Amino acid sequence: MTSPPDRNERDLALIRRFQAGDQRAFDLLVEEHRREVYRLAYRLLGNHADADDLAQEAFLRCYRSLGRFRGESSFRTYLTRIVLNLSADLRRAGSRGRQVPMEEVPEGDLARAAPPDGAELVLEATLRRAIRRLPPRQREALVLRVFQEMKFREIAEVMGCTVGTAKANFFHALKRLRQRAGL
Amino acid sequence: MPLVLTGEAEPPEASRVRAHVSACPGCRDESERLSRLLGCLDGAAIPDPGPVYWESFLPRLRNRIAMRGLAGGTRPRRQGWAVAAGVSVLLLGAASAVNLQPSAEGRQRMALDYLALRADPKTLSRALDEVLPGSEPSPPDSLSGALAVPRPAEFQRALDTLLPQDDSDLYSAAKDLSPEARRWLLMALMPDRV
Repeated sequence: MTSPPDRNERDLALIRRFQAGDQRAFDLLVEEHRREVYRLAYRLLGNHADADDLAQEAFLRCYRSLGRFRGESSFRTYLTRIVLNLSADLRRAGSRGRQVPMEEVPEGDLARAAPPDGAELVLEATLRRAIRRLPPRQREALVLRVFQEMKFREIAEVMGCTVGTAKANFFHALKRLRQRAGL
Repeated sequence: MPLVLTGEAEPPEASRVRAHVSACPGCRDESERLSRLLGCLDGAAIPDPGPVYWESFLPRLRNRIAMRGLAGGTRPRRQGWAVAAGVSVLLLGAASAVNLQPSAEGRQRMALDYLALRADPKTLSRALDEVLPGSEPSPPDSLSGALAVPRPAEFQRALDTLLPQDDSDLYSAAKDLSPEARRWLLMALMPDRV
């Protein structure tokens, strides 16, 4: 597995190639980060159709602005910020017309993990719903910390707030989830 | 406590909290509940959309970029993606025409109509200059070999993924393509797969 500094170096090398006109370098960046971007979008939006649309838009926006990327933050942070901004745009735009929860995608299309036992399954489903109902900033802090495994310093950078605010949002999110899940 | 459990607390603080938790039943209970919550969150994997989806991701992104007129935006030379996207939709039109067997003029018109709906004028012009310099394209030679014909369901999924909102007559026609035309179309839309 590639360590984060190695990954960042590799991303930077690809970005330099892209900035020099190598289109294939952008393809490689997409291939490297598409799963993570999709998963983040899914966590934030809660359904496949919107997650797919957001992931595609995120890379499109990235393509448009990558020529100006200076490497002041990691590419992962840069991309995560784009995803959060697009997610906020979606919220502002109101509810989406096309809502296709992943549960409705045909079974054969999904590579599912081994199912946990019944009680855990119920709890996980409860938590998924509870996460979707969190206030946006709390949901972002929770998703970035738990699922993206970002440090609070990075979360603060991505969310454009202080480390203390990022932590506060995370703590409030946990508190709400515990109330919802009865834990 | 959440900082300790998520590994973000400074070592002295983490040690202090752990020492207290081990001696305090109330905090130990709290710690166990929080651990269970974090464990459940960590284990709540989202379903993977599957290999067809991932294989279509980049071609669809290229199309989206081309359709927004962004292809080659940071690239001073050839606008390869725009042409590739143009070629893809052109081949869709042409492949559909293989099944419908209209006249040569009709085939060209269908392809042009399809392109005109989806490509900006510059992309359209460039794609036509590159791909149709006065004649319709032939299937690539490589397709006459022993490539597996995609199963109808697999092809249908690919088409639905790539063109989820396309309700044109051409799309309906594409669903009934001959195996050869399907293979050709899949090659055009998902070159990484074949």
